[in-house]
Amino acid sequence: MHFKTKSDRWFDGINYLLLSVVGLCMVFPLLYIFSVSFSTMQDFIQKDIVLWPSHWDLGAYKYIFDTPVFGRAMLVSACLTVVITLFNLLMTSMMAFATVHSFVGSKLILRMIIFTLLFSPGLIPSYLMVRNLHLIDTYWALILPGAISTFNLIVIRQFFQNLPKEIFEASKIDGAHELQMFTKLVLPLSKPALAAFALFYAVDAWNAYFNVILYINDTTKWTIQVVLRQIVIVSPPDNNLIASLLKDPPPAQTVQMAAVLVATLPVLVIYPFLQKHFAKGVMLGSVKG
Amino acid sequence: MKKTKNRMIATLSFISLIAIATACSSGNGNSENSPSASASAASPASSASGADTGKKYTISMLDFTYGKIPPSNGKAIALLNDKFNIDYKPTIVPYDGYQEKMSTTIAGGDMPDVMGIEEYLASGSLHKWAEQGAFLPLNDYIQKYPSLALVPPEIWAAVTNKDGKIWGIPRYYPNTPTQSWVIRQDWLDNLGLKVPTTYDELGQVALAFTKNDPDKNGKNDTYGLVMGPGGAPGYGMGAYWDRDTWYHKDKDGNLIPGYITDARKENVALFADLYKQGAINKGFGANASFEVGQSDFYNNKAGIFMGGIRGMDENLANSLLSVAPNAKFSSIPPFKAPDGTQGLTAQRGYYRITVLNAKLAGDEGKIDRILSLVDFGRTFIPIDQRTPDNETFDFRSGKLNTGYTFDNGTATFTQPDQGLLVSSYLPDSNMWAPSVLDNKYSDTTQSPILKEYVKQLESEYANYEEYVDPQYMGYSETLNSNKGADAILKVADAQVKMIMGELPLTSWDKMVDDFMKSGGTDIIKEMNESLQGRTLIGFKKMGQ
Repeated sequence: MHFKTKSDRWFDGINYLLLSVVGLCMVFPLLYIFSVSFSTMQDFIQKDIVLWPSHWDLGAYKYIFDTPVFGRAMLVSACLTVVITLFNLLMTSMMAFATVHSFVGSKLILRMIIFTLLFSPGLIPSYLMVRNLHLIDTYWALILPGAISTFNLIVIRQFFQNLPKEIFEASKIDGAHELQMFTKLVLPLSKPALAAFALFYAVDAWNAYFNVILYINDTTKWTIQVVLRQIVIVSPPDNNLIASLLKDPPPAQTVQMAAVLVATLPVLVIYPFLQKHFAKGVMLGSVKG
Repeated sequence: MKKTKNRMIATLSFISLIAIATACSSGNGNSENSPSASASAASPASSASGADTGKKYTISMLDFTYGKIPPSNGKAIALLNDKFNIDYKPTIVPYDGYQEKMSTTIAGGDMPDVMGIEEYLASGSLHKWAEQGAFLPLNDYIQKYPSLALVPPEIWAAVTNKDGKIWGIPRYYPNTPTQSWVIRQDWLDNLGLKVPTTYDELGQVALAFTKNDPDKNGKNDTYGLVMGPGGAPGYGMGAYWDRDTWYHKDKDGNLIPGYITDARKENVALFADLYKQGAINKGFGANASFEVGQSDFYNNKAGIFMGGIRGMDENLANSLLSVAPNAKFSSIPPFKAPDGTQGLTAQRGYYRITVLNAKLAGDEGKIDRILSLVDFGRTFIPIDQRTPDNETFDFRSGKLNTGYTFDNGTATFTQPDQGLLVSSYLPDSNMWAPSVLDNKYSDTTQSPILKEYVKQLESEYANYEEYVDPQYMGYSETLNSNKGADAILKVADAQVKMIMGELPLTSWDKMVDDFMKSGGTDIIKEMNESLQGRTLIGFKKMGQ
């Protein structure tokens, strides 16, 4: 039985205090964004900081969801995120599994991969490649060029390497071939790592902005971030404080906050479910244990 | 043994890697030519000469907007297609990301037929592209289209190559003075003073505003001149003193920037004295932003500041009226300079440039169609004719009750992202006003305190000449680089310190010396070289 000494209790107390302060610092901006997005203009002007709206108002959300392309962009982004995440995970893990094995030229391939980490081709060659493959204005332009992130590949590869070799040897004796090893052994054993990188890829896909601007000219194919950036930067017609008190469009600030919330919500929702894998996956991948 | 074999394979494969890389890059070189081939193949009648209005052309356009993005399938495009007999393919992207989009499409050989460019975004590349002949020379066309013929020569000069080729169409932006000055007339009246006409008088007024309680509230809570970070505004009451303007010449006859001139030195000395006596806001150099000083002026604390013929904030003016109901603004007209000139520096007179793809050369029909489209967007409609009765207005606004509604004499436009506004798709929709005064800024200003002031500025604009800054026509690569920006920043910083008394005025020569060494020599050399052979306009009466 371990009794807490006085100094232990002090230590705990200070820890709690500090962590609460840090926690509050994290929560506060989100709460502020949340509250402002639901406030009325009067609330927003009269109070310096809105931490809890006194009147709930859905005007900002109505404004956003009424934006012509919003619904479509949301759907596009959701589908793209799912597809990109699954596709990238598959590509990355297959590549990682392949390079774990030593075969003729495996070291060379690995070196070539690391080479891309040190020297990236730059924007214009990437654009030329995408254009010459006739991917401009297609969703493939968003999926294919980033299918394998070199950094993620190396971390996953490290994770695979740390799986006990004995399992593979045993399965080989039992007659399994490579594909079976990959699907039946490696993938189930690497759930934490895969979950972590699923999150990485999903967040990246959800936040895609720059590639969309670069490769997609057709506005009907735009993703949610491009549309939301529009809403955030280009405020509703009457940005004049007095005018917006009287008129229909909700105040620019509440619309902006609502847009921020809509953009971050999916990531916030997914994160808690993946968090336990996340910490484990990244740690195991990088540190030999 | 095995090791050496591995190494050999590695070396060999590295060589092949390089070979692949070089093959790729040479492939790029080829691909730059291929789109032009395919483009000319796509328009089979390109050999046919002369304008043919019966022929349908496909016109691609790339531009950016600060506002909402019109969709690529908007209804207004159909209107344009009908009117101009074209198949119009506009791509409009947000400001964020446009730089990359623009450079990649140009470098990738995908440049559209017509494109909008923002100079600051393209910076040095723009001049490189122009020199390399990426854009269609327009010299033969500019007189054929009324809105292009309106552009004054000094603005064409800014988009003209060394060899005399006009490579772009500047978009309208008022050429009113870069900085106009506003003074509290009610304070002057309270103290029995007149609007200053020399720097001596300006100094006296600023001191009186600081010490003699101009607002008569019995408190010592006012001061004269507002300054902000970087010592802006510079209170150059004429191009002669303007610190940003290239007006003076050095002993070799080269134009030099205002920052390092003796005129500026005298100003800095005056401001340093005023600062010492409290007539300039304390610690302005450390202010986070320009807005800090600005709020002093609109909070009834300071008496002299910067104004403008357009873009003054009506909310701020109204907030001043709520603290000081009797507030009244006057403009300070330009001072007479020692060399006899009297006039402020004009603005560039344009913002953003429309360019045509050089590959269009020879296809006169298509060039005409594009330029007609550009000309249509630039056609000026007087303010009082912007009604449904005006055909041009009605069309560019997307037709009555579709693109806009008209009630009680005011038009309410739909948002660009609904795709109903024709103007939001045009390659250039800024109407080119024959004179700035045609914009009738004083009529469109609501706030009574600003309305009077804007009227005054408009008459000033008609009465005085403006100086056309030669740097608008010239170009210095160093000035556009980080090095140049740093050098200018250091000079500005030193002058702020001199005004605030942290650096003695005797270190002026050393400051100029440092500037010359850290890029100034190159800036002056490059600018003057690029101006060789150009006709410098000097002072010009623009407000007629």
